[in-house]
Amino acid sequence: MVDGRGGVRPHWRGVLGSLFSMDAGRLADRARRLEQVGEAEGSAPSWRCDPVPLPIPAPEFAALEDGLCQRARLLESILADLYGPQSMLADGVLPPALVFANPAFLRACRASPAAPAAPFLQNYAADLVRGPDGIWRVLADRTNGALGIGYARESRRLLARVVPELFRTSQVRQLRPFFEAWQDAVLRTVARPDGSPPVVALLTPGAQNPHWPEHLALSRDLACALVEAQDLTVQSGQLYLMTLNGQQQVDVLLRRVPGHGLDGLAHPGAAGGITGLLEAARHGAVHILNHPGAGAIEAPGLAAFMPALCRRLLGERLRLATVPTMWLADDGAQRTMAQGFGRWFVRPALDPAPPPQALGELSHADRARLERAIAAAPWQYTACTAVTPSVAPCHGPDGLLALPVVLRLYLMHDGQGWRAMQGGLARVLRPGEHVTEALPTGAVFKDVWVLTDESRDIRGPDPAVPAQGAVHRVAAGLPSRVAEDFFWLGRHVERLDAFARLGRAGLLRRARGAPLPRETVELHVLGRCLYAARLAEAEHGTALDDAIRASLHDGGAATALNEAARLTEALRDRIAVETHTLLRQAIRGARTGLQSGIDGLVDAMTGLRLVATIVAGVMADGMVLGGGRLFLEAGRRVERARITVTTLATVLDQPACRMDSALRLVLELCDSTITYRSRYLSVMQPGPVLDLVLADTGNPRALATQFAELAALLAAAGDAALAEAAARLGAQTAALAAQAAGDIPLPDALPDALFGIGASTARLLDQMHLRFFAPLPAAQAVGLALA
Amino acid sequence: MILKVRHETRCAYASQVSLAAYVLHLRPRDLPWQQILSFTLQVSHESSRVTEAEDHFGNSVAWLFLDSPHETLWITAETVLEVLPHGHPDPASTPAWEHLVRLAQQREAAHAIAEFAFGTALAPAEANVWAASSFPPGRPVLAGLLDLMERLAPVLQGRTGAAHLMLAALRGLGLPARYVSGYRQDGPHAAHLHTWIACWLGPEHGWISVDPVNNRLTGDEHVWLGWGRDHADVNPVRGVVQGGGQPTLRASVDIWPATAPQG
Repeated sequence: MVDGRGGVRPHWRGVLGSLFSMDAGRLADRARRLEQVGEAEGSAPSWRCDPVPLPIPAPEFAALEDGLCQRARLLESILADLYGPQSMLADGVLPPALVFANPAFLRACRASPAAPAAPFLQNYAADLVRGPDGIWRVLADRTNGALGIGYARESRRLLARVVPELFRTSQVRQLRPFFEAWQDAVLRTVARPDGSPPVVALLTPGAQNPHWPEHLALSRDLACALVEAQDLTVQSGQLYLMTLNGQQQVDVLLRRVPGHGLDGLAHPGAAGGITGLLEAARHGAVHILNHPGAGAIEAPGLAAFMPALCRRLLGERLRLATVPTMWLADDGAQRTMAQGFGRWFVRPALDPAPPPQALGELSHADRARLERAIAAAPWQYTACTAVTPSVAPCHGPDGLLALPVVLRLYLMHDGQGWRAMQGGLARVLRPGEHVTEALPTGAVFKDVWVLTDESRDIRGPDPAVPAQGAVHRVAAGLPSRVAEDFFWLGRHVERLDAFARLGRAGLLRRARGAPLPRETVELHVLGRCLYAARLAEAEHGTALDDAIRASLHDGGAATALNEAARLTEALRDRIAVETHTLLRQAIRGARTGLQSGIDGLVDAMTGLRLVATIVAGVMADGMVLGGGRLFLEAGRRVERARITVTTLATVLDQPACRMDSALRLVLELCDSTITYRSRYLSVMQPGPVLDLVLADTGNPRALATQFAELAALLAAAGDAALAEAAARLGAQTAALAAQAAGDIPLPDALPDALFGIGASTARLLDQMHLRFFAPLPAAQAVGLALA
Repeated sequence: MILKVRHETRCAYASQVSLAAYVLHLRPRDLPWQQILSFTLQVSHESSRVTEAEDHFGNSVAWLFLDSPHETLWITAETVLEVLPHGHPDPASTPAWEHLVRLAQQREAAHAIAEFAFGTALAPAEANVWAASSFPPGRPVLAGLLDLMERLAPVLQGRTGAAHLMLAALRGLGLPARYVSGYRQDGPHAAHLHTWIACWLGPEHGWISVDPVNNRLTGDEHVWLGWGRDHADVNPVRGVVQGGGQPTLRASVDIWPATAPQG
């Protein structure tokens, strides 16, 4: 930040000027707001954005870009040689240990004949540190997916939104053109015979992966489908996405899964994966970006050979320095290290994950152990000189703080050549953090600004974006897994609503103190309803308190709430940001409420019903009916039908003398008391009550309404047979109501008839699962046993 | 000597399999002492798809994909091959073992050989004091190898994984050694799937193979399918199935003298 004479370096002046014009309170306020916005949008706690950006002057960045473009070309050549003729091994430029003992070197990708020369690298990221001498040096190459690029773009968005005044004093190059060019480059990878744009999918390990928010952001920026291995299948040599509308061919797969985890057929250890993917790629049926074997180049030991490889493969001098590195099996390397061990960091030569260990900081015993390991297998270790990254101002609890930063820059091959994103991600190393390879959870990032060089950029913004690249919407069908997730979200939310409805009715009765005999009976009936609806597991006792407690502890309500929370996250890429935030907060609120003990439960029940209201109202309102919402609605309807029918059967299964109270409870549980009173005053007559809660399709809570809605949804989903089955159940319900209307007292067979409809509903549910979601069975490895 | 080899693999599934994919190393490798005259691969299931290639190690490999539901599967490989005699060097004439360890670490000369000096999950390179006593300084490598095999014989006779055990011992010393997958003829119409190892004896002698299970050098009763670092590289039949309950794979091998095919 400062030059050798203690003056502020010119490119910091704009940023610092803006910062100093804010008082300390305002900066702290902005930092807090960045965190809040991040949290609301779901990025936290996986990372945090620092309010102070890292500016880089245009000429300095141009030199970095030039050096990294050369390095990207070099890495491409090395990979082409490793997976091809291996002449660098044959000529002794590269030692065999760094290739053949490297678990990221995928022999399965060396089968010949291979696909017509597809490039190995399409994107590339490099970690750089600047030493005290002001020179940037490459610390690590990342080719398994440009991890963090989504964070870089999110950081820019967050910063522009929360601290806009920073941008007023500096001219900052935009990130958007890079993403548009990237998207274009990906689409140009493949030419479909019919001229239609190729289908692109981003493969993520799933929502449980710590970097999933980035995969999601990236899939949106590149307008491609976000998929998991279980959504994909290889059939007839082609890669397909399993959607509700059948299988859709995928042409380009952007992977965020390491190469050895892609295909269980190629790598028997890989759990999951897409069987046959590598064989499909070998025939060119699908393009995987980057190439599955590209990770081999990440081995830290290779850094020692980069200058020689660059001379041999490119015939050029390596323009961007690497942090000085020795491979410890090289002649004299161990001696050099022993002579000045305080200067060296040791790390495995092949595995990029473990952080370098400072020899000088190790205890005597640890150092002896490490030295023994090195002596036994020196080829497994590499040493680099101690890296002391330069510092940059960061926001701290008491104003600005100087902390070391590691810079990560991103490059992409656009078909003609490499180009760098005009920005990047700077990771702040907090005390105790190492210059590790991976981006840890909870990391603090700085937005990297490439300042506009006015003499060069005077002609206006970069015109690199071709016109046809402006809008690309991938018409990918809804993956079956996503439809199923929506369906289950609907079901679980409806369960929560039913639980809250039954629980609240009971808790209010209980709260009145000294219950009447009628109320004591009602409490037991409500408890039985919870069991009948399978919201509580086994009958510990018929007392309502026990049922509620059991359900909340590890029973139906607890499961439904956990699942609703999980699905809300898993479906984040399919729900509007605001709805997601609202739903997430409601679930969190309900969870807090439920922990407040049985006395605070009435409020908690209201909280649960809020979750259901958001799903039913806000969420449905913001979605087109096709795809997700259709299944969300179907899930809610079928679950409501299932619970309503068991509840009615349970409540009505009482002796005739209690029928008046039973009918009142039926109306209460079906939210129909007010309607009934307005129509029939307060005289309880079985006929009108049953008509209202069973057959009246004008009543949103009536059983027949659920079947009618379900029939319409199933017809819209394209299954006439299932729609017909749902409609039949509706007709059965109406007939039952009509039949019971004339009889006073109610026929004894009514509860049984209702339970019968419940059983039919359960069968319909099974059929819906088979029809829409039937997943492929889990993959398992088989093979001839060892002879 | 011309032989006909028939290798039938039966995949028995407990329930229906929706999708299945196999990697097959069933075509014997062409070698100076083994020439393939004909090879056919038959699959019981009609709508299957087979693609063929050469793997990283130079073995013939085939991928078999079955995209439609099925309950049983037979894979039948039939080969007619000619086995030519090949001799073994005099153990005393082979180079000292340490010399080979040094050679294997030199970059240029030995890059293709060095691959087999590194350990794998099934045959890790672990320093083994017991194995080292067969290799006193300066001992010719083949003499050491035969001595080690002799000493291990009581442990290895007929034992599964014998090849991996030998590989681990040799790699632990820094000697490159391969895992070989193939068949062994016990007599007319009596044969079985078999594995053995090949050890590198330097540029002059190349790879020499020994059969640790039977404590002897390999001869013309061995039919070579291919080689790799361990079983996972050259399992004759290995795959991934979706569904199928608990599938079992059974192989039956038959070898008998034949005449050269017409044409």
